[in-house]
Amino acid sequence: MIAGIIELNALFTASGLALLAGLRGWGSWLELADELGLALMLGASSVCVLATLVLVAGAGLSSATIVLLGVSVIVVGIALCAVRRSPLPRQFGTLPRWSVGTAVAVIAALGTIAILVAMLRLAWIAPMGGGDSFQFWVPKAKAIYFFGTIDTSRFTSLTSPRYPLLVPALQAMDFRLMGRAYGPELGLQYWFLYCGFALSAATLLRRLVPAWLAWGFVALTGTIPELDARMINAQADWALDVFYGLAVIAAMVWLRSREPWLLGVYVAFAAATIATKQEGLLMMSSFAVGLLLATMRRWRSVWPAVAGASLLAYAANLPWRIWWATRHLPVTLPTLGVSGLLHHFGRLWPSLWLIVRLTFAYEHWLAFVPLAIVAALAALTVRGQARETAITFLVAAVGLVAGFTYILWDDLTYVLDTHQASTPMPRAVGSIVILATVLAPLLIEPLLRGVKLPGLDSNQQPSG
Amino acid sequence: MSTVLTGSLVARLRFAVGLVCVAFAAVLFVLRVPHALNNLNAQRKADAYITGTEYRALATGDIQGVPLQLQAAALRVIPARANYAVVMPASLALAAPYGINAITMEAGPAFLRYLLLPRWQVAGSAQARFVICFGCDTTPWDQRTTWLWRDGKGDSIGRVRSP
Repeated sequence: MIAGIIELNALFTASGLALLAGLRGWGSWLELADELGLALMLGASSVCVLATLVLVAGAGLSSATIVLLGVSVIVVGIALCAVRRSPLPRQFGTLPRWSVGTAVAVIAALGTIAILVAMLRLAWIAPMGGGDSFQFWVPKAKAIYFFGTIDTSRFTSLTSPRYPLLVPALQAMDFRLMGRAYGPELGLQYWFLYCGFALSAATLLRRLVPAWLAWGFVALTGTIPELDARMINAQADWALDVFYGLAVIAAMVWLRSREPWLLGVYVAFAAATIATKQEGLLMMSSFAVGLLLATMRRWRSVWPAVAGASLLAYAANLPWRIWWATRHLPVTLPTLGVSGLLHHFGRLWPSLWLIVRLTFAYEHWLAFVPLAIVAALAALTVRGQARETAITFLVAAVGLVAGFTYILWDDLTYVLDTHQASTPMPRAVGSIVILATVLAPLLIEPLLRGVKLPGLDSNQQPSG
Repeated sequence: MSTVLTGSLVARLRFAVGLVCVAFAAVLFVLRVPHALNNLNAQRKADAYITGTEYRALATGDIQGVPLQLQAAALRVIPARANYAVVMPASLALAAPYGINAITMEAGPAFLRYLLLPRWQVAGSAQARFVICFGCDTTPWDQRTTWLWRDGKGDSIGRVRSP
């Protein structure tokens, strides 16, 4: 059965490689190998978002459709490659020079690999975990697999019918290529997602910061207790967070390097984030607002691109919104309205306090948020792009806290406690943590500039 | 180590903050990577009792309190794509004698719905061709049900003769 999951992820990687070839190309084989993780995640986000559109169009996800989706992305990549005359690898490439920094990067990368291996061994034998997995995510995937379409009363009668479709589509594609709807094996799919995230984050961050700093924080994501406890659960929370984290990194790297291909990568990851969970829209909106506010001084050169890319990512999810709106599906989150909110004004402060407590809970998330806040406040004193990164982080984080607070305040069914069963917030705040963790290297690196440490030269521009 | 610190006090303070952040991250790495590995290995050890493809599929329900034998029998007895209903005690007090707790009361039907797909769980007994009696009194069903499986602990699966 696992062969099916491996085949699907191979298809994702091939699709992503074709897109990367079209969007930018590579100078060497080493550069290509370095971007295999990015290719996996880019392919996964592109194919999965397309799969949601196929479902909305009323079709199913047969093996032929899945292959066709992958091939269509590959054709687009090859066409882009031909039109743009992107370079293809012709030489092996050069390995990084050996230094203290390289040694630290290797140690951090080894730490990441060790965590990935341990997670894979667990995914190999673990039963399907997470209440939401059997409550609705996997039943939806099974409904797509068995009944062929989402346009049936069976699919829409399942819990949370308005939730976005990416996770059920991904799981249904896994089932199709596995040849059986076997839930426990989905842990392996989520392992691929984390593996792709770690490799992609390291690849993208290394374009801006030294490898030791990039790999260090990538390794640290694997130490987040909630990630270790839930990454391989067949739910949407961590899938959402890894797409979000990569969208954030792609946008920040674009902001500094202005390489156009990164905007394409940002669109794919942002679209996947919005297609994964309802919170995805809040996450991408608060991030885009942060980015726009941070770049007010050079709005002419930044705003059209950021706004255009963000709207494109949103547009890819419009068909789904139209689909459920036209079928009058019941709302997932009942809303109180202004008068209701004022009537329950007493919930505001406890809701905010709960979100803050959860975000700073060391036993769940360690201390990446306070670390990033300290680095961001210090980075505010640096002019230029470091300050932009700091403002983006602070605005996006405040936006998420405000958004999650509003959800708790607005939905009276949520009990204001820290239990996983009472509210999804203990998992939702993971997005703030992942935001802090992936941006921490970009916030810390400018603080170290102007100082020479042997082998750990932060002034030196990183190489691939 | 030769460290060149030039510039204003703010720049030096900034550098100090950066250094503290890196040092903190390094300490986290040294302490937490082994901790994460231990946790993942401990989870694996805890799951080591789960052997075989079928048991792995049923273990999630087992953890929620749905008996393994009931899950396996439901998969075996109810034909694919048949409608079925899950009948449970009306209250936690009535469920207690069967060893059903609050978690099982809430998660049991949802887990069975997931497990048994494409068999379709229906809310009322009117459309159900099969009934899973999970810790319940079968008396109201006896007249119109052929019982196909029983475990003697209050769990039964039957075919409804006149839906």
